[in-house]
Amino acid sequence: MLLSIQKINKAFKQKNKEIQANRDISFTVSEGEILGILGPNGAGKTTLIKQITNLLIPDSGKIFFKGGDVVKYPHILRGGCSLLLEGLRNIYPYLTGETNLLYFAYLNHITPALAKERSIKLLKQMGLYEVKNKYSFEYSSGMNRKLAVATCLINEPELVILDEPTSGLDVVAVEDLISFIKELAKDKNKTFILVSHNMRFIEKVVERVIWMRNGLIWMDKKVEEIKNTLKNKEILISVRDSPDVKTFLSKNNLPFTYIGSSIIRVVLNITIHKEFLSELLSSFEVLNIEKQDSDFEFIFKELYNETYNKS
Amino acid sequence: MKHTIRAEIFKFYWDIRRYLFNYTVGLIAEIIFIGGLYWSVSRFEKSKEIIFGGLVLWLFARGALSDASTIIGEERYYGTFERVSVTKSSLFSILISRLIVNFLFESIKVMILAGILYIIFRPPVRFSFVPDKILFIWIITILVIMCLYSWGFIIASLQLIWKRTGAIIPIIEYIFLVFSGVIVDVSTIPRLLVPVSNLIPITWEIKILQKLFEGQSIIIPTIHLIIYTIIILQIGYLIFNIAVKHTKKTGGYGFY
Repeated sequence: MLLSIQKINKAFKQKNKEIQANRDISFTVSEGEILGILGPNGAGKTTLIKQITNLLIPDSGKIFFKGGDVVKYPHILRGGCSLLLEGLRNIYPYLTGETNLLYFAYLNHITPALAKERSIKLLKQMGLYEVKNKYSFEYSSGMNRKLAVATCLINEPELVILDEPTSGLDVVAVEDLISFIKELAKDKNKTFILVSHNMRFIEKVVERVIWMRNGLIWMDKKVEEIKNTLKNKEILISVRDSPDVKTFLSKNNLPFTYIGSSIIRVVLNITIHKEFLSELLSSFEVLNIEKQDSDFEFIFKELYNETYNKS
Repeated sequence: MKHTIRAEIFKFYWDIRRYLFNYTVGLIAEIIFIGGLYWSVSRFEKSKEIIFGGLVLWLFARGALSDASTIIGEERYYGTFERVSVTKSSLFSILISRLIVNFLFESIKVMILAGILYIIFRPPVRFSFVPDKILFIWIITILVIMCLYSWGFIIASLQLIWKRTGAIIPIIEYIFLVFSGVIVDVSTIPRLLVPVSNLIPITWEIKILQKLFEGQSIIIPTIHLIIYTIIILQIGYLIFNIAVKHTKKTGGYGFY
């Protein structure tokens, strides 16, 4: 086992208010695994990865990397883990593409010859070789993102954590990144933790998903398992809006959204919501029923709506 | 550490390549400022070598005090502070390596500046060519520079917690200039301000140099300076570790 997270909790104080960002988070990650962490904004994903990389210290709980306590012995993590943060805060704008890579290689104690060899390889793989001598402030946001991903891979760490790696990338670049990550995990046994809102990317690349909500792990499952669980079991019902229907849905904690001003859309699972389904059909004006083809994007939206409606 | 120093030399080289014009202009500005200051002060003071040596030291002091804060501020501004923290080099070694590289550059800059000032004003600094004194002066200067960098490290550590701390650096720079004995003789400093003066590392060197030229015993002030250096180094390291831990707990580690 490469990484073990044991009951970590983290809270932040903001204007006399305490925000619990992570609650009793526990999971493990094996070598060569590709794990996706999903969840709406403010779910506690970034807080979690910052604790894994020792940029934040948990209030309680333990984080073990290769069996060593990351908080007590931070050096265990050094060189074995790379982190790509959200946004344009991973590279130096006044350095060229190549010098950014070489600088990070040297910080990771790589010899100049090897650093040069790896940087050329990565620049070619990321499609940046032709622009390697340009300053990174001259790059587009997508090119900057690719370069930032490359800086995380230059030292070939055992664990690579990428927060929103696809932001600013075009479709072809995303496909390339997917193949690249899969290849590294398979051939070199590298482990990836990917945090992203790009559902298609996550669905294609990860093997396991941790779904976070309100600082908690809401779900920790294999991708295939999620797909099979929801396959052909969800239906989308459009109902005429009325105070009674809203009371009914709210009372039973059923997530709903508005389509236009007078139609409510509700998704029900025919196994879990069997009794509600019959009551809905008999008591309210149902306008349409259709089978819901559940993909990651849909599941995420529904979960987000549920959270939103509850709050 | 050697890998981290190599990384920082590499980064610094590219930094210089890009901002060579800015550095050159900065150097010219400092020559004008220090030259003017030396010219005006040396007209009234007797000990011209002390003024000359003091001003050169003060130039080091400026860089030493602000370097660590500038590094942290710049890394936070670019957002790379957290990114470099997740590399094989620890944050402490990155900071120390960058300070060493900056110090080497600063030394070249100060040597150019001192050389130009020497050519223009011809201050009586023949003492530095006396072999038995020059080694001693260098040891004392290195100790003082270590103290100055420790002060800079303390300020940078506080800046990790309170982001605006870096803004007070110019005030400290001028306190160092006024109370260190460079422009005002140490013996003429009001009694109440003597403790302030004693906290400034340059004051110690000035005192030791004065005694050295007057042929007095320098053992006691030298011991004081060594103790001061050890204490301030320890305090700097301790505060840095406390500040890093504090910001990692509160979540303000990488915020600009």
